[in-house]
Amino acid sequence: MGPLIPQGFVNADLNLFFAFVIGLGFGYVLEQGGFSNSRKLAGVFYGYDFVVLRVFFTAAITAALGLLLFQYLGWINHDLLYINPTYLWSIVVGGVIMGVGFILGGFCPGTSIVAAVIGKVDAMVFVLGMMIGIFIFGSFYEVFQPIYTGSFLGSIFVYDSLGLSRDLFVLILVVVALAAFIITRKIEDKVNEIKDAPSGLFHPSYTGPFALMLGMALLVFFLPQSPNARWYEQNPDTLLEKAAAGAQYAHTDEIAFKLLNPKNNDLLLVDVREPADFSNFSFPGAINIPFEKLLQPGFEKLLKQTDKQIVFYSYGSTLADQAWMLLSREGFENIRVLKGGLNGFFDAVFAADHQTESKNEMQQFDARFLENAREAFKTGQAAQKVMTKKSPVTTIVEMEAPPAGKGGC
Amino acid sequence: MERFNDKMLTNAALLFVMAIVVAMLVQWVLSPKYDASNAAVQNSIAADEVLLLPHQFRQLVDENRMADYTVVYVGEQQDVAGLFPNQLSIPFAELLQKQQLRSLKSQKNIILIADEETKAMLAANLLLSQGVQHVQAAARNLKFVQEELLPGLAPKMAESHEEKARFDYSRFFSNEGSTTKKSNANAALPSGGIEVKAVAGGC
Repeated sequence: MGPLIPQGFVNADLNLFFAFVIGLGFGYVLEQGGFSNSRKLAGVFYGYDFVVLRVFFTAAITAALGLLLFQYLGWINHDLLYINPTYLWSIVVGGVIMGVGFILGGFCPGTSIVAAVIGKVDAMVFVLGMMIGIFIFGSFYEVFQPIYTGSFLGSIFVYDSLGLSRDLFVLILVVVALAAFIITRKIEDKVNEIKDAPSGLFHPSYTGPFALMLGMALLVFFLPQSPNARWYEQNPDTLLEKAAAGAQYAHTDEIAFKLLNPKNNDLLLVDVREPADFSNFSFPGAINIPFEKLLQPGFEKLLKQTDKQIVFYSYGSTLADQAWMLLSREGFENIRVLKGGLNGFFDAVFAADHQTESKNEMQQFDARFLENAREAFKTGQAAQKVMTKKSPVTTIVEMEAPPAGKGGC
Repeated sequence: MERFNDKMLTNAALLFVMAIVVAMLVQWVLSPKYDASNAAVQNSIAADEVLLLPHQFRQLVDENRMADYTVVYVGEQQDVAGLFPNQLSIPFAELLQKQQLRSLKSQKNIILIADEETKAMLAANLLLSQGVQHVQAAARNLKFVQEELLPGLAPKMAESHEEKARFDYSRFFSNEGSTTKKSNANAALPSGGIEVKAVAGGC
């Protein structure tokens, strides 16, 4: 049930439960709306009852407005939504079959199930015909396949094709829907010869819903696509204070010690360089999240789940510091940066002369430690000690759409 | 009955919209003050728009275009005056003070220099997030600019910056990853990753 499950709001085990509850509500609403009555459904084609058009148009604009507003509020991530791909030929042929079937049979697939469940024989026959049709389609898929997958246009949007902005398109859609409500009601009144039909532009009961829909559409239109700041983000002054104090830095000796002593290793090393650089060399046990992917939901979630201290590293401190800044602003607390990056680490461990004439015991200890670390790293002790078993992680943002991604009603 | 249902549904819808508006207001009140989203800042930095490489900087000097730029030093040294035609000195810790931001927003183009490249980039990140436009951070540091860039940039230093590899790492560091190609560079985390099976919807 996307996007609640991928976002972690709902446990994946409850998928079927939610499907059942939503199905229950959907069936109830369809039945209560009179959608189990084929005469009512077919009325849209004869002009005496346009409730189908009004219900589905209302559903479309409510869903569109809700989606955009929820996205603005950060409750839904638009990137996680599955967009049905467009196959032009199957849409054209399927649309014709559906339209003819709707007029002749008086049902669409969803409403036929509702009507069949309440015992309507015509609906049961309709469902049976539908099953036979599906069986024939499946049996002779190779024959239908050129039409089914013909003219693939990808996951396209109407507003992109029209060259409109998303929000303007939704505003126009709402205006068209409201106009359709007014016109269809007038047609209904005329066809049904209603004598006391209201004389105004629209039925008085429409005033409230019209105002709400238009208000929401205007709100979506005038709001930016997403706010510049989210409520959970950290204050810029706090970030500045931390950056000025250099509070984010982890130093070479700590990283070296923890790499060589896995029992004391409470760090998750995150390499923010490009994958090719990571492939050439990385610290044992490190993971790679390239800088430009850090804010992608899958990776962000991955970092939120760890109970270890996250240490970003790159060749220097620059890129890792930027990663730190981005995620600190997102509200992450347990993140640090390897001061000097890989270059600094290698300078300290391999390139520096560890002989010291200092009499300070701490400095002597550091020098001895780095000297020993150099030998340990050279002989691969860190790699042997750290579990480097690879278990590929597929994040939601990298998942491909399922091959049979066609839905309909 | 129909009228009652109409009214009830309208009130429910109104309540729902009001709840959304209230949620928006609450979020707005709680949100810190940023003029650019985190993703927008990330995009600018990832697109290499922000880091000013030495040869690009040198080109501006050679073409006498420094008058179009305000160089802002965000480090701790006191005596840095006279290097550039338009120059400001703002301590890093005071970068987001109101008067500093106002002054920076009024500049046409800004080049930040610090004692460390990363400090200049952090400053650029913060300024971009506060809506300051056309901000770049000079690669390396003030010392490099003073001693190597301004007197005449050596060709080998043209692309120099802190995020360049300086060693052949795998030669020093015996590591599984250095000897074998990883099959999936992005992926190497403990189990428990997210698995989503997206499904098509319909009615």
